[in-house]
Amino acid sequence: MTLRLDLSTPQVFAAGYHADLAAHRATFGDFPQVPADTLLAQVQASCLDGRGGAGFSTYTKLAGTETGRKTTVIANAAEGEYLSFKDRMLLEHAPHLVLDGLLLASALVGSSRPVLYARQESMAGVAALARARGVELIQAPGTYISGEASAAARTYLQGISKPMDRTTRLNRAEPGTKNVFRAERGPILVHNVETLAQLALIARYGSDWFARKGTRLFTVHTRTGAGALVLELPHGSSTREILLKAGFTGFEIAAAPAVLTGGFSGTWVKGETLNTPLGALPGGEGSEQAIAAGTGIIYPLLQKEDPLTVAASFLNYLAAENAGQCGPCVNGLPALADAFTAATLGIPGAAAEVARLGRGVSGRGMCKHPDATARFALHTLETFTPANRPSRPPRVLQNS
Amino acid sequence: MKTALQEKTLHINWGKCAGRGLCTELLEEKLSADEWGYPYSPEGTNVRIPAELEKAARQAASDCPLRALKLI
Repeated sequence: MTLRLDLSTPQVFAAGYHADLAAHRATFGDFPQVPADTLLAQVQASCLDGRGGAGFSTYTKLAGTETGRKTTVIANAAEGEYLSFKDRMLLEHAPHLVLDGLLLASALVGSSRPVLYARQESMAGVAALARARGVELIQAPGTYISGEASAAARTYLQGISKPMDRTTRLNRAEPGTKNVFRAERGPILVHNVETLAQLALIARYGSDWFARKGTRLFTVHTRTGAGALVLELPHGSSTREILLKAGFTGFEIAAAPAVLTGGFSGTWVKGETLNTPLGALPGGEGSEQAIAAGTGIIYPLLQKEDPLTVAASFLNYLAAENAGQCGPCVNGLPALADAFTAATLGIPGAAAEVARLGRGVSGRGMCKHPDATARFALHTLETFTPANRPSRPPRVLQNS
Repeated sequence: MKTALQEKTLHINWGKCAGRGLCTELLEEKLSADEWGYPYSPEGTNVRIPAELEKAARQAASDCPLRALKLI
């Protein structure tokens, strides 16, 4: 698997490949000295959306964080979605911009505990930089669920990279109880590393600049020996524009039965929706028509690939990657994946079973993994009905 | 008279819940056992408890062998 970084419209990667502190300073200047309320106003005006998958308003999360000494800020580079490489690319090529964003966010919430949560392969490259800038480094395992926000927080608190139970939002303190063994959890603000890199740019150049020149990172899978390509493109780019920039021809784009955008809890894009912008638009206008960008994964299917079969293997992966903590998820997701495989084979009643299990697992766990998995299964079945499925289902051999 | 602000919520800690099912008996108005024995409510993890069910919810929370319920 080869990875290429395309710098044709750089912003986050403006300092070039493997930018050291000198290159970073030469490109972006010194660490921005911006008053907190000015920076907060700029983030709000920019409508910066979280780049960790959920697309949540960065301003809302920042403004809602309880401030003070007990607040921790974690830059999340766990990148649990195995099709995504943008966060690792950021740590490899633009680590100082990420650290700028982390320290700016920390200053905003009065925290003196900035933490970088990174995968083992990123550690060697960032360890010295993080230490030099006063950032604690904690390691993320390569599991899918390790990227979940409360899993990041729990790694910091307990060294366990799995979601944790909470009765308050992560960025607010969890109240203690009279039971002395239950300690209070301080507020923990978790932001994806790309979100923080974009924030570091907004701090320097402002929200008007971001509206005109802001970018989004995508991981495009070429489905050839060339492997995956991380691209930085203007926000509001459509799937078609992204694929063309990645080197696909118009013919190849038309031949693909569909493109999975955003990631495993993403959207199947085909036909007209190839021209729809991905992700929240600058200034927030017109965002209702946009398709969620998720983690920026672009995975086009090959001409002969059956979307349902591909989705079934993704669902098997998602079912297996549950954290092993919550009964409904541990039991329900494998059952849902099996029911989906049955639906792929055209077995009657299987699609209804997928819907029933989806309703059963949603909202019943310590994180949104079962919800997202169920949503993806149902979205796939709705997009590729027996009537418009591109290829015939595999034959089921019957026992006589 | 109780107002909505004072209405309690029963929070299920899924990390602790082992599907023993005492809560589905003590609070059958709000919780039923799913096919694997775990407490099911359409409200998911945080179940609203009206005033008349508060006593039953409190008992369910204190009797849970895994201490997986919290009334807040």
